[in-house]
Amino acid sequence: MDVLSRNNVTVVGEGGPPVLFAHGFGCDQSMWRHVARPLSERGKVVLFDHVGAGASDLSTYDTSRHSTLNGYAEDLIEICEALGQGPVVFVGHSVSATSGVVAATLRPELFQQLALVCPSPRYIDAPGYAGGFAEDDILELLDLMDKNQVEWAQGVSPLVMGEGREEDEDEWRRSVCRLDPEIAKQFARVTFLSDNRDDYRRVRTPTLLIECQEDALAPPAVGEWVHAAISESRRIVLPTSGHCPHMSAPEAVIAALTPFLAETRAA
Amino acid sequence: MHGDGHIADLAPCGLAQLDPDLTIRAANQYLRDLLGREQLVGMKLPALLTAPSRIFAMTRLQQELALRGGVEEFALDVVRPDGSRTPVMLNAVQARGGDDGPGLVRLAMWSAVGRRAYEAEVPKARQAAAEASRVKGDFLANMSHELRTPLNGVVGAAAILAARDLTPADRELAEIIQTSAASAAKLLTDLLELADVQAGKLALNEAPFTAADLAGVIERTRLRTEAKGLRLDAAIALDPQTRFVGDAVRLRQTFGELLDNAVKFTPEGSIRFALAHIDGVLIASVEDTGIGFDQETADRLLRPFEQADSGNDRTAGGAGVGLALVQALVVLMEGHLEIRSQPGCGSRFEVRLPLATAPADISSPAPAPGVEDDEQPLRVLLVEDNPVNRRVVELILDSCGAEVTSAEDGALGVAAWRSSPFDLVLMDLQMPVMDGLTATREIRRLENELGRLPRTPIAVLSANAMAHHQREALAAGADIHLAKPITPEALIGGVQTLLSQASA
Repeated sequence: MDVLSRNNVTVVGEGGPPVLFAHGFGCDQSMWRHVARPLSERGKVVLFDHVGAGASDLSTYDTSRHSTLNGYAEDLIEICEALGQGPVVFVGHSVSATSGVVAATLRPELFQQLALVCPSPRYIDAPGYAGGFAEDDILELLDLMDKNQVEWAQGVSPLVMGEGREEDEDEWRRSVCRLDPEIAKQFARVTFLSDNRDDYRRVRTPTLLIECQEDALAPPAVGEWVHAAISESRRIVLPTSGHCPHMSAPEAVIAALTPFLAETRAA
Repeated sequence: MHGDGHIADLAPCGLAQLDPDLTIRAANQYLRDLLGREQLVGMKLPALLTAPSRIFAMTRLQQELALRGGVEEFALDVVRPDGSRTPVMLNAVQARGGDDGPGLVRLAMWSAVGRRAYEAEVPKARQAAAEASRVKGDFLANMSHELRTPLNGVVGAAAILAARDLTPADRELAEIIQTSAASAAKLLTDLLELADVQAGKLALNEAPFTAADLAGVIERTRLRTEAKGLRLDAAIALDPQTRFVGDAVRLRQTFGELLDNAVKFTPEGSIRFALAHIDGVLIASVEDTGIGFDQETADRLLRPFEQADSGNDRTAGGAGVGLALVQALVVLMEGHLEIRSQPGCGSRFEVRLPLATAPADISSPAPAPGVEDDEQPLRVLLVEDNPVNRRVVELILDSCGAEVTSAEDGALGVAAWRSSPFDLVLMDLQMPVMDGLTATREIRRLENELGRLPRTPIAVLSANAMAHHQREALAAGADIHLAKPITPEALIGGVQTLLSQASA
């Protein structure tokens, strides 16, 4: 099995340790477009689609392997190994922040730095921990997903870096954010029902936390918890709202990432 | 869009304009009412949603808006300040962002209370319809069973009557009873089989057989064509010794139904039956010079419960469910049925079935000993509660010289079997005190316990002709299942089969 085609891995730019971007639940690598494109002008950038999203190879979805975030972490590790370019700087959004954390605890030598955008180690409330949701909410979310069947058209490459004519842009717009409906539901289950608080506590990799001031999915209390759990972490709270600052405020995310990346690129 | 008299307030749905982060900039009166708030400006859309909808809006809706530019009929649930919830649908578009970031969002939202209720009803209605269909199927099976019991008496008694010395007028009456009862019995059997196939209860019993095994159907038909003055041509392009693997019983049944149909609807002329095996496909065709039919009728003939058109030619006796059964069997055998016909110009039915050939090395079964061949009379234990049925079987077996002992229920049957040896047990299924399945199991248990060998062959006689009833009977320890109504031929044939198995 070819890992790079399995996950539709895209490599752009030259120089420095590769910056590996991992997308969260609900979309594909194209959600990183406005951050990855400018950064690719300064160094090597790697993007990929989780199995079941974008132009990934649907046939490699493994109901057992992908039933926990460890399976997604193994995918990440295999991507790092397939790249074969030494330790990467990992930038993961939302649930992928957590699979990055799991991968970094399993194989710390593969990761120089972690940048976690709007992470949440656990979405469901627990004693002494406010994740923000109840288990019933997640089960209802799965029902809601049935009512809003996501679209899937395999083999359409999201052309993340594409830029140019108006019709290319239209083509690109039609092709992005495709998800296999069944896998999307399983991924929702894995994303929102997992508890990875112990993995966060074990991270020793230098970590940058990027959050939004107002995020209904990963509220500030969760950010505080993560900051306290990872000893080597710095925390930046962007003066913006929502759960996807890399889409709504890409410049702010770039500004937060730049000095952090400079630490490894200078080294 | 604020203020008295704004045109947007006339819209029969909520309208709003939002910042890229989904903060509401302007909203119409409908949206304020839908969301139960006097003021919406400055609020964020996710804050007006239930928790699951909030997650989905922030992980999917926003991405689709930002990357694809819009969504249509997106289903969410909103929550009002008093905690009440309403399902909604929304359409939204997001303008492409310029250099200063993503563009504004325009949105239409309307109540989906009726639609969600409808969506929730659909599966319930489907389930109710399936249940009603199942109940009707059960009713059909039960009524067929109820009808078989009296019919059994008619068929059996008429057969015995016809064998007696009768005046020509009485003989004609007896024959009419026999023919009519046979037609009714055939219809009942077809109906039950069709119900079985449609309920997925009929499994194919695939085994090696020879081409010669299929030919019997021609001789059976020849008797009928000769009686009606029709010519029967058979073009069998098969070596009789060619071996196949398949369900020979169902194949014969399929061809038999097609031939019966042809005989029934051909007042004069000929019927041609052709059989060939080409490239792993068995091709059977039945062609007649009969009354024919139009395309509409052809479609209807294949749909059970619909072909009983009052316009049918009554003299032909009605089409029955035979063709629907053929169609169902052909589909079950993964084949294809093609019908060509025109009114007044005859019909042609062609069946194509994938059929594998088998390696040629099976010894043929030993010839079956006849009931009457033995010097000792055959000792038969008949366990049957219905006095009419009991009498019919007794009369048939008496005529063959068998010695019949009767028991009126399962418990008495087991007791009779314990007290003296029998060559054969004929067991009814539905009986008071102890049913036939229980009695069969009991006899098998006792054989083991008492070491009474060889085991006594048991034939189950039952109006429960559904395939699963047959399976249950065999599982209980019966050797063969004979469907009622019992005719002398079927009973004697069944007994011979059973005895040949026992002696094999």
